[in-house]
Amino acid sequence: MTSRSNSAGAIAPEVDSALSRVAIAGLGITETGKVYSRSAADFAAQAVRLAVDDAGLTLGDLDGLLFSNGASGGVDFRLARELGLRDLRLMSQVAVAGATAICQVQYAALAVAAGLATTVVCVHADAPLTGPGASSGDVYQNRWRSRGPVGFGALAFASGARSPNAGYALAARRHMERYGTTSEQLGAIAVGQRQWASRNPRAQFREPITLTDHQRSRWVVEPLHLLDCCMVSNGAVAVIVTAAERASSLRQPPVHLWGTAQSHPGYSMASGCDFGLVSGAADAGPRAMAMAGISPADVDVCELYDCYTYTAMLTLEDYGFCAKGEGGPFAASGALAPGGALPTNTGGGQLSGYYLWGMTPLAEAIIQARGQGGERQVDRHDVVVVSGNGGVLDHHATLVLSPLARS
Amino acid sequence: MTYSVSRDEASAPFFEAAAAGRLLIRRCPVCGTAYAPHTARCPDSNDALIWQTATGSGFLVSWAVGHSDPLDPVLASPDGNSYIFGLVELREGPWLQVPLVGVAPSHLRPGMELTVLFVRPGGEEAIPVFTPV
Repeated sequence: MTSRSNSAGAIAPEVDSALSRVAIAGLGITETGKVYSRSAADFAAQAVRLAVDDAGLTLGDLDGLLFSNGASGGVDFRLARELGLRDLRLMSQVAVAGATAICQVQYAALAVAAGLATTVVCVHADAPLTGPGASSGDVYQNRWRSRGPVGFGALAFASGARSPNAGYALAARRHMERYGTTSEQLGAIAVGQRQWASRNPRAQFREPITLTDHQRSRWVVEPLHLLDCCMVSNGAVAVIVTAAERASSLRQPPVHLWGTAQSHPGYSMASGCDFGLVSGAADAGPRAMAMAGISPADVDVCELYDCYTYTAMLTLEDYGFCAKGEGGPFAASGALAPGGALPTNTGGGQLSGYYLWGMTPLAEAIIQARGQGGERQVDRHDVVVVSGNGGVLDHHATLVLSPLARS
Repeated sequence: MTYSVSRDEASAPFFEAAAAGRLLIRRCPVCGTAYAPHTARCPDSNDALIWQTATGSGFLVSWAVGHSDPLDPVLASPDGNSYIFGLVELREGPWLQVPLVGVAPSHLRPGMELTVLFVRPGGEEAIPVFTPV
C-alpha cells in the first residue's frame, strides 16, 4: 500500500493559530438514561436550548448547526426549523460513530477559525430505548439483525458477529494473548469508573462494585463480562463552539481548544494487521497533543471513550500514558480511579454514567475543565484529553481542552 | 427459528464453490495480492479481482466465545452450551471471521494451525468453518 507522507498531516501555522483562538462556550445535557416516550429529535432540540442558556446566548445567536445521530436515528436538518433557527451559515450531519462528537467540534472550530460561522452548536441525540424491558443488547443486535443472513455478511453473522460486542471481544482477546492483559485488569477500569460515578448525580449506575462483581457478571461475549460493556441511554448533549474572545464575555468560563486530530486506520484484516493491538488513537493522540504543545506527562484528566473497558485501556497505551502492552497493569495500579495519578472517566464514563456516544467523554471534559465537577471535580484540570472511538476501532478522534488559552 | 444462509449475486460463486467443498478467495491479477472473498476490487490498483481456490489452511489470530445457543447445532462447541468464532489468517494472507468447531475454548492458542470444513446451517447454503489440524 502506498503510504502518505506524515507532513501531509501538518496544519498550516495560520490555521493552527486561528484554531487556538476557538473555545467551547456552552454545554447542554438533557435528562439521560431510561427516559421513554420522547424522540431523538425532541431530545436534540432540548439539548440545544440548554446549551444556549448555559452559554448565556439566545437561539438567534446560532449561525451553525452540526447534528449527529445515535442508534435510533431521527435527527436531521428539520431540527433547525423545530428550533426556529434562521440564517444559518453552516449545517451538516456528522456520522463517524463514536468519533463523531469530537469531529463535530473539530469542524465547528475550523468553521469558526475560517470565518464561515461565528457560533456553531454541535448536538448528538439518541432514543433507542423504547420502554421498560428493552435491553441494551437488543438495541444493537436488532440493528444488525435487520441486515439479514444474506451473502458475505451472512458469513460473519453465522460466526457470531451479531453485535459490536463480537468484534471487541476478538480485539480484546488478541491483546490479552499478545501482552498478557487479564480480565481482572480490565475489571479495575470498571470498578474505578463506578467509584467516579458514585460522585456524579447524573450517572445511571452509582452503586459501588467490586472486582468480584466484575468477574461474576455474566459473559456478554467472552472475554467481555457484562461489567466490561457500556450501557445504552436515551438523551442528548449539545455544545457551542465560538471564538475564545467572545466566549470570555459569556456566562461560562471558556474551554479552549488546544489540539485535535482524527485517525481512521482502515484495518487490512490480513497478514500483518495490528487489529486489537493498536488503534487510530496511536496516530490521532500524538498529533493532537503535538498541536496542543503537550506530552502525556502534562495531562491532568482523561475522558476516554469506553464502549468497553478494553477500549479505554487500549487508548491509554496508544496515547502514550504507558508502554504498549502495559495498559492492563497501568489500569490495575489504580491510576485511573479517584485519588489516582491520572483521573480518567471522572463522571463514570459510558460504563457507569450514561451512553451518548462521543458526547459522554466530551461533556465530562468540559465540566472538569470548567471546574464544575462538584464532588468529583479533579483538583488539577488545566489539560484535559478527550477521545472518541467508533466502529470496531475503525474511527478515532482526539481533543485536548483547557480552561487556559493556549500559549 | 431455523437459521440458514442464502447467497446473493455477488456471493454466488463463493457459495457455489463452498457447496463443492472449496474455499474461494480473491486475488489481484496485477499485483498478486490475495484478498478476502467479499473484496471486489484491489484497494491499491482498483483492478477487478479474480476468484482463486484457497488452500483452506491457516492459523488462529484471535477468538471469542458466545455463551448462548449457536445459530445452528453444527456451530456449537463440544460442550454444546456455547459457540466459538475466530479470526483466521489464511495461508494466502487474508483474515476470515469464521465459526471454530471441534475444539474446546480452553484449547485455543494464538497461532494454532487450522483447516477449513464446510457445514450447512439449517440445511441450506454451505459455509466455511475452521477446526484444528
